[in-house]
Amino acid sequence: MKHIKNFRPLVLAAILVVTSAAAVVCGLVMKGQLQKYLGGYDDKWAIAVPFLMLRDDTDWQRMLAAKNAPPAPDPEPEPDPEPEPEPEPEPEPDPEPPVVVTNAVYGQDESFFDDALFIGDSRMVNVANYARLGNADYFADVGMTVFKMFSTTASDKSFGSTDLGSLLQSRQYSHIFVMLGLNEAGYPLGNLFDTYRSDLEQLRQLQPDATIYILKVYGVTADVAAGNPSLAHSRLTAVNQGFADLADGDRIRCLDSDVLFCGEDGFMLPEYTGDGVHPYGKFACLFSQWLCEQITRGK
Amino acid sequence: MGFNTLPFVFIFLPLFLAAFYLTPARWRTVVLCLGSLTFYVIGVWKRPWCLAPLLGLAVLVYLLGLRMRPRKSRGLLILGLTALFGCLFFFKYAGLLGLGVTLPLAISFYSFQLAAYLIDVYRGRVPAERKPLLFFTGVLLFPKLLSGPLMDPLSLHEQLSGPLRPVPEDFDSGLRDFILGLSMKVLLANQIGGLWRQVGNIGYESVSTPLAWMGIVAYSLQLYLDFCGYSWMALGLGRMLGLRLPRNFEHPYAARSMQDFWRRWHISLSSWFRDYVYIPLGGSREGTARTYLNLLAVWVLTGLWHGSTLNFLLWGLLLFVLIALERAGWGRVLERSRLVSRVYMVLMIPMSWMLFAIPSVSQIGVYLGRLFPIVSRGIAVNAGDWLQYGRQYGWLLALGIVLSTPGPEKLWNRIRSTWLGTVILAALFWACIYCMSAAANDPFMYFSF
Repeated sequence: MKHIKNFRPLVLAAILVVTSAAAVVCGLVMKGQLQKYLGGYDDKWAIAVPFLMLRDDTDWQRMLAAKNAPPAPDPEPEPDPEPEPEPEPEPEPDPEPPVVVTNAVYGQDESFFDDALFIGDSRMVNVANYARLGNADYFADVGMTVFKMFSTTASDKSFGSTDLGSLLQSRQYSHIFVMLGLNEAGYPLGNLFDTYRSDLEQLRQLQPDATIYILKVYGVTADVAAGNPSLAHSRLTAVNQGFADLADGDRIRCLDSDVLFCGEDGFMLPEYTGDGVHPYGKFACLFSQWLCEQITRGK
Repeated sequence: MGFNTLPFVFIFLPLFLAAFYLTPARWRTVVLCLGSLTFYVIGVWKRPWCLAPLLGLAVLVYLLGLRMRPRKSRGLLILGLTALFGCLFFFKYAGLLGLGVTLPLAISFYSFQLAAYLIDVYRGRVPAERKPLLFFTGVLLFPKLLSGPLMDPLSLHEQLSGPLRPVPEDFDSGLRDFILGLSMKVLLANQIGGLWRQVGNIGYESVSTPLAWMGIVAYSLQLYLDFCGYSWMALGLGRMLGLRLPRNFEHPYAARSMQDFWRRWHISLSSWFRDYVYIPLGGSREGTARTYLNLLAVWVLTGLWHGSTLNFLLWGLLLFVLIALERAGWGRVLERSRLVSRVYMVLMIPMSWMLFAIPSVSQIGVYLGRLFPIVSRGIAVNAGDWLQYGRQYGWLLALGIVLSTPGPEKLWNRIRSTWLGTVILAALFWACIYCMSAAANDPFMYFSF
């Protein structure tokens, strides 16, 4: 290469090379720490890791907590996700459950939900926009997870931007419906369930008179699941089983919303969705109708 | 492997540039050829059969070019064009016929590039390239291989004939254009495109009329910024290698008529159709009726080039109708009144892109019903949705509209090479990396053609 007399044209390139080297070193160190204390991140480029942490530092905080925690005994191995169950023989159909609640009839009398709160991610945003129930409040945000339930801010028709703790301290709810789990399905299940349990306990403390309903995660389309192992049917089944175990059947109940929009194989049916994850607006009412039926039957 | 991916920016490009610049000038074409082939191989790693049509057609055209005698070898020209367009037609329409064959990466572009070469050799405008290295480098040239710009074969021949000796100023200028293009794609197009994706996720029948208009404006801006951004990246990469690729966009949204628009949008493709379809058919020299027939042929073929579904044909036909009306007299009205031309283009551009964006004709009808809710009231429409998305995307739409005008580029050219420009570009680069880090799969929109 000929001797370059004028270095000025190379200033921008030099800046990028130096900063890239720094970012790579920083990324390698951070990735190493995350892999050591949390696991995962094998498929992430080292240079991307600092930016991923800038965007959402949940994992970095978890890593620091794990790093600073006292040594623990060897943890039990992560239980494998439950295999697909053998198809059971058709059971005898149960007799139609009696009507227990009369003011949860979709489109007619939805007053049951007038003092209800719905908490959720983008799927709940969809319901809030297209199929609201009664005068319920909806605390929902795109990307919400159990890890960020109390740090996220959201707004709705009857309240401005606020965090969940402040909202629960300012209002009284008789029923709280929580639909989360899709965005965090790739996290270690033990950690996911522990955090959710802690969130539920916090909800109970702030709203001791409310009945809390955990809504199971319904699936995504087969195409989406094929491209993302954390959204595979078996994975979501394991997540939902863990959610069911969090319920006590009394103040904390679990509803089987995993059947919504899905076929018998557990995958979301393509005709309900444009992106394989979120139902079209015109189908959001199916969730609300289904929920009314569950409440009416005393679930 | 697109230009806007971490592997390209941090692995392929630095390694390639290092190899290129460390190689003596007389051997750089070899590095360029091998690097371009490697780039394509990586891109089709999961579909290695895509190499077959690319290399097969390139070899065929190379051999035909060698055998061709200008203005005499009509049979060879027909053979070559039949092979090129036959392949293109087969792969474009195989999906419709249920053959389960997908479109090979970049076939729409390299088949047109090869056709241009063959036709120009036949016309005697370009000498047949005897050196296989130069020929295949011209075909595989990675800055332009995947989505253009289509290059004039004569210009390609002249630029590749000598050793490649970019100077530091070429490298710097190319790097600045590359970062600018990357920013247009990653920071603007992708973000603005989120609104159009949201509209699709909601379902067209459930969007309010204001949101329907916002959505199609968002798509129009996304398409422009995505493709223009890619083109700037291609120009920048070429400049870093000492090559001058043609500019593909000249502020098309500042156009005052559809004819003007298509002299500013995807210029290399419009030029290709002008030089190899419209003019050979007679252009405007054979009388009014024949002129309109020639225009119809051009726009039908343009529509079919973009896609095999009916909406692309409808899109091409709409453009033909608008351009025909402009030629018939409407254009003179547009020239006389800036206000009328602006209103006309503000309506027609999004309307034409609506046909382009929505593959299903029935869904086009649904969307039209939301744009002009005379008959349809929609289903489960949230009347306040446009306020919610307006808060989220309004500033981005405004920024996109402003950046689509000529003013910002003039301002940018004044500071581009200054220290301020350097700092801005470095900041933009890292902002892009931030966005790219979280994006999973983010192909350029024109990769699907």
